[in-house]
Amino acid sequence: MASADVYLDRIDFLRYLRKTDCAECGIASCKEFINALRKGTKRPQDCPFLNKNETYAFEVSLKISEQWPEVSLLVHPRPSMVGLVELNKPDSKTLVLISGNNEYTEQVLMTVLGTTISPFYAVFVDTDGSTVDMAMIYQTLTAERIYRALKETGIHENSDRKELIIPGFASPLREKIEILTGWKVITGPICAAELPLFLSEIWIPPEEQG
Amino acid sequence: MEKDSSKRKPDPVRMQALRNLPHEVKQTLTKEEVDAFLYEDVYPDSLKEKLKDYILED
Repeated sequence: MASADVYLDRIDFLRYLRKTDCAECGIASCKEFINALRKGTKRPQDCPFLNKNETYAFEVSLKISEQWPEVSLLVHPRPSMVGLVELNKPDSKTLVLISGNNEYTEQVLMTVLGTTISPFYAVFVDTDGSTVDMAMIYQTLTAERIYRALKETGIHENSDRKELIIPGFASPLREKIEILTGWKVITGPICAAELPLFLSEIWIPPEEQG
Repeated sequence: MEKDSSKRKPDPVRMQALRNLPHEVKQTLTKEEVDAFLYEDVYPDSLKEKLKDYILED
């Protein structure tokens, strides 16, 4: 079966290093260090500048796809639940993540979010069951649909933070979402596996619980 | 906007000093602070605070 592109090659790991080329890891450049991480010949802990959260985020981002379902290249839209998922007891200060209501998309995002004890709201917008990349092509992920989802889930009224992250593919919608919602909109990564790195400051590993 | 330091070559003495910092200090440094350490003459206050035990006053 030909597999769909889950955009793992779009993860910009280098962006999350200090880019000193200090060679303390035993490799001459940070770029080569990333290649070694991908091959598994180096570990994130080998970089002396990565703190505990960042090290964990690298580990998750490098390995999480092993837990993802295999998605066929040619697949019809697979609608799943629309609405709000609350993770780890979020409150009015909690960040909101936006995604589409495709069955695989939801599985992938929930697998990633399962690697942290940090609170999040995940809002699955009705994209007619399309993945985010296809929803942008079919125009089933729109600023209007995102705004409606925020209203219908009640999060629009209940959030004091009023800040959300959209998937990287939805970046063309950012300005319009900000105008419609009055919220701050952050463009997140294209690949969900990059989220732990993108949010490494708040991506707390489960073992720190309690 | 993030400054692109990739084209610059750091002073080897500064690089050695950076490498010699304790592990627990290095892990607290942001990308911007590392860039300042390697390339700038004036350190931001956050970096001065993190290095206060390692900076000798004139």
